[in-house]
Amino acid sequence: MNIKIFALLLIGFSVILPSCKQSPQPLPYLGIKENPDDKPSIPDFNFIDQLGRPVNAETFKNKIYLTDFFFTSCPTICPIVTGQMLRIYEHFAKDDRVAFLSHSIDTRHDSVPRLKAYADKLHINDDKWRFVTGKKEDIFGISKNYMSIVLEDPDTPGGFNHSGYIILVDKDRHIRAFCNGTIPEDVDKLIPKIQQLLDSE
Amino acid sequence: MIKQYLIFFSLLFCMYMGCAPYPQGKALYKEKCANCHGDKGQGLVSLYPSLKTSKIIRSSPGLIPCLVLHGTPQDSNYLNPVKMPANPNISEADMTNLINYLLSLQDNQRHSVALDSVRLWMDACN
Repeated sequence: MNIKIFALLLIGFSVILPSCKQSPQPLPYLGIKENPDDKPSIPDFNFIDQLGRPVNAETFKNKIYLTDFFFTSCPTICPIVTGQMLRIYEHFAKDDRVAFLSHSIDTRHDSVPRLKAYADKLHINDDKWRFVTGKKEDIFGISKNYMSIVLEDPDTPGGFNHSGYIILVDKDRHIRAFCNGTIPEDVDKLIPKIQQLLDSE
Repeated sequence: MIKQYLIFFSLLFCMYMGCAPYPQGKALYKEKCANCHGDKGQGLVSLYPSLKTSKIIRSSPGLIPCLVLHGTPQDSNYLNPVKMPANPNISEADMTNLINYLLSLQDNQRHSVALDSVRLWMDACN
C-alpha cells in the first residue's frame, strides 16, 4: 500500500473513531431499595404553592422535575442551591417538559405571600417553578423519599440542618439522578443527565 | 536598571501569588457574605442584591457598618422575603478590611476608607 494513502487512512481513523461515542448508560433508578431491581417512587403529596394553588403529583403529570429543600431566611447553603436551581431553570427555560419544585422546610414562617415574594425576586415563571409549603410532617416525611436530610436544629444558623441536594425525578416519579447543589461543577454533570432523561422518554 | 528589574519581578511574584487587594477583607467576605451575595459580589437576580453595582457601597460606605452589624429587619409586608443576618462580633479592623474589599469590587472605584472613619461609623451605629 502506498505510504501516503496509509498515512491518510490512519489520520482519518484517528479522527473518526473517537467521535463514535457509545451511547451513555441509562440513568439508574435511585432511592431506598429492598431489592436491587426495585424502582422506588415518590409517594403522593399535597402541598400549596406561591400562588396558593394545590401542588400534587398531577401537577407534574408527563413532566420530569428538579426538586430541593430550602427556606427563605436560610443564611447558609440555600442561596447557593437556589442559584444553581436557577441556572438549571434557565438552561431548560423553554422546555415545557421540565418543571421545578422547591419545598420550604420552615413551614411556620414561609407563608404563601412570602414564597410569592421570594419567587418574584427570582423573576421566574410561577407555573414552571413551584415553591411549596404544607404540613411540616408531610414535608419532613417526603424529604426521606427524596434521599434528603431535613432536621430542625436550633444550633444551626437559621434553625434547620439540611442537605443541599438537587434531585432529578422522571415522569413516573422515580429518582433518576441527583447532585450536590452547593457545588457548581456537580451541577454541570447533572445538566446532561436531565437532557438524557428527556431524550429517553 | 536594577530598580526596573525589581519592579518587574515584584509584579511577576504578585501575579504568581494571586495578590488580590484586601485579602483579609476578601476572606471575611467569603465567610460571611458570599453565600448570598455570590463569590464575586454579583448577587442573585433581585433576591440578593449585587454588591458590585451597589449605590450604597459606592456612595455611602458609612452606612455599611450598621447593615453588617445589625442586618436588615424582617419585612412584614413581604416586599423583601430575605432578611440579612446580623454580624455583631466584627472588629473595627475587620470591618475596615471588609469595606475596602467591597469598594474594590466596584468598577472604576479607587478610593478606600481608613480605620478612624470606620471606628466613628461603628460607634454611631451601636
